[in-house]
Amino acid sequence: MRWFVLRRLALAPLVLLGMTCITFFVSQLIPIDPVAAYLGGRGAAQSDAAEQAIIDALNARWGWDKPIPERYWIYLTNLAQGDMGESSHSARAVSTDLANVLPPTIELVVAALMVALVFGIPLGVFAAARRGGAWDAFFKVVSTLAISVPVFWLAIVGFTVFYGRLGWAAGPGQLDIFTRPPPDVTGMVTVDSILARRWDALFDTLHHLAFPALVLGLVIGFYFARVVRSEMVDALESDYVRTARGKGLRRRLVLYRHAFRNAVIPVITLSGLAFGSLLTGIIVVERVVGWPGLGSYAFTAATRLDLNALSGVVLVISLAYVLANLAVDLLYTVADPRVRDGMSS
Amino acid sequence: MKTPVAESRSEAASPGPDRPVLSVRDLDVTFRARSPVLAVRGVSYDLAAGEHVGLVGESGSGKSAGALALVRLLPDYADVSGTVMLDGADLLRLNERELRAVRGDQVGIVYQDPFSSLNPVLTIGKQLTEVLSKHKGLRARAARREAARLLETVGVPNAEERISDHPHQFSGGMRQRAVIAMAVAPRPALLIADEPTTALDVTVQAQILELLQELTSEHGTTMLLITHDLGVVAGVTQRLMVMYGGRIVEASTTEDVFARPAHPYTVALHRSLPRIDARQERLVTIEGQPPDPTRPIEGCPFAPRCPSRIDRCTVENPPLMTLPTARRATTAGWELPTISERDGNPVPGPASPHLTACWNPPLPEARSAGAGGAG
Repeated sequence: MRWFVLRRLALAPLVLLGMTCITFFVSQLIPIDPVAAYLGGRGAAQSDAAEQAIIDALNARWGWDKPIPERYWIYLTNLAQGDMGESSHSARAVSTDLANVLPPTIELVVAALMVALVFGIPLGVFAAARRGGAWDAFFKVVSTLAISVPVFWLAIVGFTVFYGRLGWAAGPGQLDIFTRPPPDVTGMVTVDSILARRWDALFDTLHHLAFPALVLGLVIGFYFARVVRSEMVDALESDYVRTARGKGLRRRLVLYRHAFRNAVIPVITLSGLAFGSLLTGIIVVERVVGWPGLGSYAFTAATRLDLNALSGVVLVISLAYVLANLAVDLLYTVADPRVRDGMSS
Repeated sequence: MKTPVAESRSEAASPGPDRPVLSVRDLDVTFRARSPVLAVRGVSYDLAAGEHVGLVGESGSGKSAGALALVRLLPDYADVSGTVMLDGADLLRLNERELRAVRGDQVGIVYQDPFSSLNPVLTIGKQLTEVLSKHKGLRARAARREAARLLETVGVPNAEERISDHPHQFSGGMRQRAVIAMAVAPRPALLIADEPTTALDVTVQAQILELLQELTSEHGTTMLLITHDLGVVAGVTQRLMVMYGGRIVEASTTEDVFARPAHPYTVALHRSLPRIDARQERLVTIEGQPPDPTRPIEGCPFAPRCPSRIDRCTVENPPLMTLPTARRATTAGWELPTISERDGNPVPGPASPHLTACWNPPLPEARSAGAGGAG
């Protein structure tokens, strides 16, 4: 068990190396001069000599005048020292930027997952228990709609209606402009508010968090619900559930102890896959509600050809993927005794 | 609540028990589908306290469906009708809560495939103790101790430790032992064993049968043993019911069914068994196909394949008769009533040139001739 975790963690750097390779070479395919992209408008106002000095400095540091493989090597050695370069649009070190944008995103992801699990799983069980019935049919229609609607559409229309028209949702950002932010400890405003016992700030930031978390949570939640339903239907038709019924067990016990414990195993795998759609969802939703997280940062970086920032984002996302998959595998061992034994032997 | 179980099995050999533990009348099972599957078509029988009765038939003859229908364990798309009287209650008319009190308590079930009938994510102990806490009110420690004792009883070594194992850590035979432990834990009045040895190695089959025999005899439990394997029922049961096309076509003592089969289907079934005392180039098969379960049957379900078929067979289902009845009938010159399958009412035994037991109870000395089936 411990070996399994260590082995997986030891493989993580290799996966990340592969990711840097892909992102680096793909970014080289973009037909622009990296120096021009980096300097953008800032270089133009300088005198030619000054401009040349800046270009020389950049080339010296990143080797942008050298062949691509050599550039990759330079990029890697810098990265190994924790240097991801500067973001051209924020003019700060990418690592600093990432440290700033990650906490709000983690906040949002956790909140969205909580929403998704809390309503998605019971909903799937509910539909499976009434399979073939009217509620099940209703569930099918609603869930198909929910997973088919593009997230950006849902986010924009939802925000327009619930913030713009009804005023139920809070405005952009993490806090109202009139709310004094709590002292920055973790970067996550909810946690910081609790640490500082600033209940007004906590309430306010939860209000801001609610809309994006609900939008993301609903989409993923319905996805979970559909998977849970289909797995539950299979489990409910299985022989072991018949055995459980034959023992005279209560319906709830049959449903949750016998069927659900089995149905949840594939759901774990699929939640690892759902992580991907969560990330794309985050970019869109954060952008729409002005949530200062990784998604907004990635969006800006992509639209402004901020290659350093983009590479940083991709690295962080890759790392998140590796960790999410490790978590999935570990959860698997908790849920399925057969896997647990397979690994210890 | 529990049926008092008779100590003696003296009346076990008699085909129509006077005070049955289980009394099934006109059991019909239909699986709803685009063309509905008539799995069981009007089956009636009684089981006496403590007797072991075999229900044999080929796949699709409705034997499993008919047995699981007794406690309504079939999928939602199965329609079950008739009456199933157990301990004064009609199981088909109980509500869910009442039925749950019967399932697993008065009726224990051993399933066909121990690889799929145990829950893979729960420990053997958990799956055992949940029966004990449901029906015997045992809590945590006591239930665990009792579970270990039960596992010990069914022959699982190191029961104390193995109770925390998951099913995949058990071999097939051990799993089936665990399933049996769950089924007999609350000392049920009736044990339904649905092909309990089919999924197991031949060497393990005998052990499992012996175990079932032992446990049911010990507590005077009535056992309904379902199988397609005549070899399985031979040593374990006192009576046999042969199913074909969703109907019971022959019911008699095990001895009689083996020594003096009366229905042409049973006769054919016997002939298709490989024999150890004869050199055979090919196994004998029964010509033709079993009846289409989606169509109603007119007359005898076996008629299209029957070597002794007469015209009457295709329009009228012959009455079910048991061999002792048949013999009694013969001695009285065909006059004694026989029992019809559907309603249990006596009908006169008709005379006809047909030589098998269907229409004419065979003369004791004409048994083998009847079995040969001249039509």
